[in-house]
Amino acid sequence: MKPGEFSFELTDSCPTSVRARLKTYDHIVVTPARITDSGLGRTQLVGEARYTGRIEMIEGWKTFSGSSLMSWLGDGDSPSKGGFGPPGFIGGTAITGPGNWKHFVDAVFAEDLRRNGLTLGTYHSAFTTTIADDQIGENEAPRTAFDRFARITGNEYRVNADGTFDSGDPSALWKSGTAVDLVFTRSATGDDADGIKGVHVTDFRATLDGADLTNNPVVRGPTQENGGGAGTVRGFDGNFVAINKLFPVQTDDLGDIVGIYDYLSASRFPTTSGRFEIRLKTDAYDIGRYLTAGQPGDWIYVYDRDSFIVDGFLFAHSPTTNIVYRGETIFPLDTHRIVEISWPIREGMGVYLLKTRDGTGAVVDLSEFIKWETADTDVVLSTQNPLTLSEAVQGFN
Amino acid sequence: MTLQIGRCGPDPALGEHSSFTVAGGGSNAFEDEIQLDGWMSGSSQAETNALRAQLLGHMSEPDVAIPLVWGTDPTQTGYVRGLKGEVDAPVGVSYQSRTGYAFRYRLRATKLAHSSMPRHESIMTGAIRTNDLSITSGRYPWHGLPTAATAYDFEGRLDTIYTRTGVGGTAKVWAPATTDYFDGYPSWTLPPANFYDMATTIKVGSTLYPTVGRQIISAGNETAWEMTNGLIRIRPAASSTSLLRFGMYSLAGGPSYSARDLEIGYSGSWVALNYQKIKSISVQRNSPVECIMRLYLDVTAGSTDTYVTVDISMRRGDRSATIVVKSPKARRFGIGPTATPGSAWTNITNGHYEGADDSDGNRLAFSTTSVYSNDNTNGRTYATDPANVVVLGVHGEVVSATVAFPDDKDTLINRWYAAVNEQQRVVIP
Repeated sequence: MKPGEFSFELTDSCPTSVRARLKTYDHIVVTPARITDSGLGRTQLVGEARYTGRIEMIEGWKTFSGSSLMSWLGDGDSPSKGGFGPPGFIGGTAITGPGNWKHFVDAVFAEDLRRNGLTLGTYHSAFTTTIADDQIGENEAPRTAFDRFARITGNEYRVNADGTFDSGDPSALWKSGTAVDLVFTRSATGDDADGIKGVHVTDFRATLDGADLTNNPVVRGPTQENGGGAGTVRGFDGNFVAINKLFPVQTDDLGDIVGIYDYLSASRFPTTSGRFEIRLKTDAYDIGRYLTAGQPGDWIYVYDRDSFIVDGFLFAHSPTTNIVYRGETIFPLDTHRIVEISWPIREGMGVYLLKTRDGTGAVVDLSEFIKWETADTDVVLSTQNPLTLSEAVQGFN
Repeated sequence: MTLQIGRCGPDPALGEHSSFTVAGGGSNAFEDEIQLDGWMSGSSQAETNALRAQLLGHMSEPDVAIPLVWGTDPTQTGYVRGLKGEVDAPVGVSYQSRTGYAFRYRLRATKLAHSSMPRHESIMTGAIRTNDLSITSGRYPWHGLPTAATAYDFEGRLDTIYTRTGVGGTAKVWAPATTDYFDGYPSWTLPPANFYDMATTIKVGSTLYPTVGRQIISAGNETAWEMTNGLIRIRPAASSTSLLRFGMYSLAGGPSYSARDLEIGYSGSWVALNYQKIKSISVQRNSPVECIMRLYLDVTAGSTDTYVTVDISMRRGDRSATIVVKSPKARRFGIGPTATPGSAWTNITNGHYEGADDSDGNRLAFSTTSVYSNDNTNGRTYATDPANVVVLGVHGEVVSATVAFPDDKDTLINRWYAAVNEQQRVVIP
C-alpha cells in the first residue's frame, strides 16, 4: 500500500504562538470528534486517532502538508548505505533469507533504525511463501521491500494511526467474505439491525475499461514460453480471437516461466470485459468509522442499477449475489474493495499537533484554528490488488 | 373541472383553478414547460393537508415522470417531470356557497415528448433469494402491470397473460418458466389516467390518504397506516397479540379484503410482538412498482432485550408480501396466524400451508429463506436457528378450491423465491 497525503490550513485568527509550534517531522492527529480533555496526552490521543500524519512541508507557516505514518518505513526508492541515514532506510546489519513474511517483518522491527518509531502490531493469518536471499535487496527502504515481498507472497500490510504495523493475508487483515458489512448505494443509507451499514452515494462514475483486457498472457524466455492462444472473447467474424499480452523474461527455466504465467493470469488482468473501476462521491461524515483502521482495503458491497453496478453484469449473466438492505432485496457487486479514499476535515472533527520533534510528546489542540473543508468524500473501488495501482491518495484533502 | 398531478387529486371539493400556462420551447425541441397557478381544495383540513403533502412529495422526486390529468382540457393530459414550485398553507375558503379548505400553488413542470402516451420501460434485476435451503434453480421471476397497460414487448416473447383480480381492479401478470426477467427490459404503454391502477400504495393517517415520497408523519401514526396493491392489503392489527392484518381478495359479498390477523414473533417459547410495540414507522421505497415500509418495534424494557425492525414490501401485481425481520439480538423469528387454526396446517415444498379454507374460501401460506420449523398445530413458521435476520413470505391463495396458475400456493411460493428489483422509466416511443 502507498502512504497517502494530507494538507490543512490554519485560519488567519490562529495565534502566532500556536503556529510557531508546528515543525516539520512533527505529527498531526485527526480524531472523528474533538476531545476536550485539557490533560490529553499522547497515548490517549493516538488511541482515538482516525488519521496520523507526518508534517513534511510548511508553506507560509499557514499551510501544512505531508504523508501518513507509513512514510517512516521509507518515503522513496533511493537507497542508502548503513548507519544513520534519512528516515526509513535500512541501516546496519543486512537481513538474509530464506524466510517467510513474518521472518522479514520481525527483522525490520527488531532494529530501531529500521522501524523508525513504528511498532509491531498484529499478525493476521499470513501466506508462508518463502522469500529467498536474492529477493532481498540491500540498502533499500523497508517499504519498498515490503511491497515486493507482498507481490511475491500475496500478503498485505498497513500502518495504523497509532503507529502499529499489521500484516497478513488480506482476507484476514481487512473485512472480506461474510464479514463484509458496508453497502454503497444511491437510494438508501443507514444501519440495519443485523449489522449491515449503508453509505449514501451522491455520484457514481463507473468505468469499464477494456484496454487492459488480456485473455491469455504470453510469458516468453529465450527459448521457452508459456501461454497464448485463443481466449474466450469473439472477434469481428464471430470466432474466438487472441487478446494476448507479451511478457519477455530473461529466465529460460520452464518452471519459472509457468510460475510467472500463473501469477499474471490469476486476476492481475481483466480477462473478459475489462477493468471495472468505480469512483463515487459521498456526503457521509467520517467515512473512516466504517472501515478497518479507517483506511482503504476492505471489501464492500456496491449497487447502482443505473450505472450497471450490479452483480454479474460484467459477464453477461444475471445476478446471483443478493442481500436485503432497508427491506429491499438488492444485487450488489461483492468483488470490489475500497482502494482509495479522499476525505475532508469537516467541522466537528478534532485536529491535534503531536510534538515529537522536541521529544516531549506534548499535544496541542489545533481544532479551533483549522480552515474546515466542505467537499464530498471521494472513494475509489476496484477489484485490483492495491499494490498494482498507481499512487493512492489517502487522508484529508 | 378537475386536476390530478401524480397521486395528488383529483381535487374533490371546490374545483376552480386560476390558470394553466404552456410555454413552448423547453430545454430541447421535444419538451414544453408548463406553469400551473391555482388552488387545490379538500373537503376537510386533513384531506387538504394530505393533498399538499402529495404535491410536495412529487416535488422531492423531480426525475420521476408523473401523469398530469386535466379534466376540462384533455389535450394537456400527459406525463410530466421536474415538478417544482411553491405551495402555500391551507386556508378556509368558501366558493359558490360551498366551504372547505384550500391552498394556493404555483408550479412548473416539463411535459415529456409525446407526453399523452409515451412508452414505459421496466428495468428488472433479480436472482434467487440468498437462502439456507439449497434452492439454486427452478424459481422464476414474473412481471405485473395494470390491465390498461398495452403494447407489451419483452424481447419479442409471446407469453401467456394471466389476470389477477382484486379489490382495486385487475392486473396483468406475465409468468413464463424462464429466468429472463432476472435481467430484462420490458416496455409497454399506459394512459396517464391509469398510471396508478393497481399501484403499490402507502397510506398514512387517521384517515388514510396515499403518500408520495418518503416524508410521512410517524408520530401518532404508528398504527394508522396501510400498504396495498389492490390485490392484498396490510394494516397494523387491532387485536392484542397480533402485529399485522393481512387482507386478501374475497369474492364473497365482495369484492372486499378478507382480513387475517398475523403474529410476528420468535420461538423458543413463542413470544408474539404485538402492534402496541410499534414505536415508529418509515418509508423505505414508495413507487407504483414496489413499496416498502419499516416498523421499529421496542421489544421489552429490560437490559437483555433490544429493538426489532420489521420491513414489509410488496410488488405491483403480487398476491404475496415479503417481511424481513432484523434485530441486533439473534432470535428464531417467525410468523403465524393469531387465531388458533381449526385444522392443522400442512408442510409443503419450501413452505407451510393452511389446512382448510377460511370463511371466504381463501388460504394462507408462509415461506422463508432460513432453515425453518413448521408448527402445524398453531400454523407458525419460524427459523430453526437464532439469526439476526429472517426473511419471510406471506402468500394469499384466493378461492383455494378452484385456484389456477399462477395464483396457487406452490406457484406463489416458487415465484417468491425469485427476488426481483423493478424500476420503471418513461421513454420516448
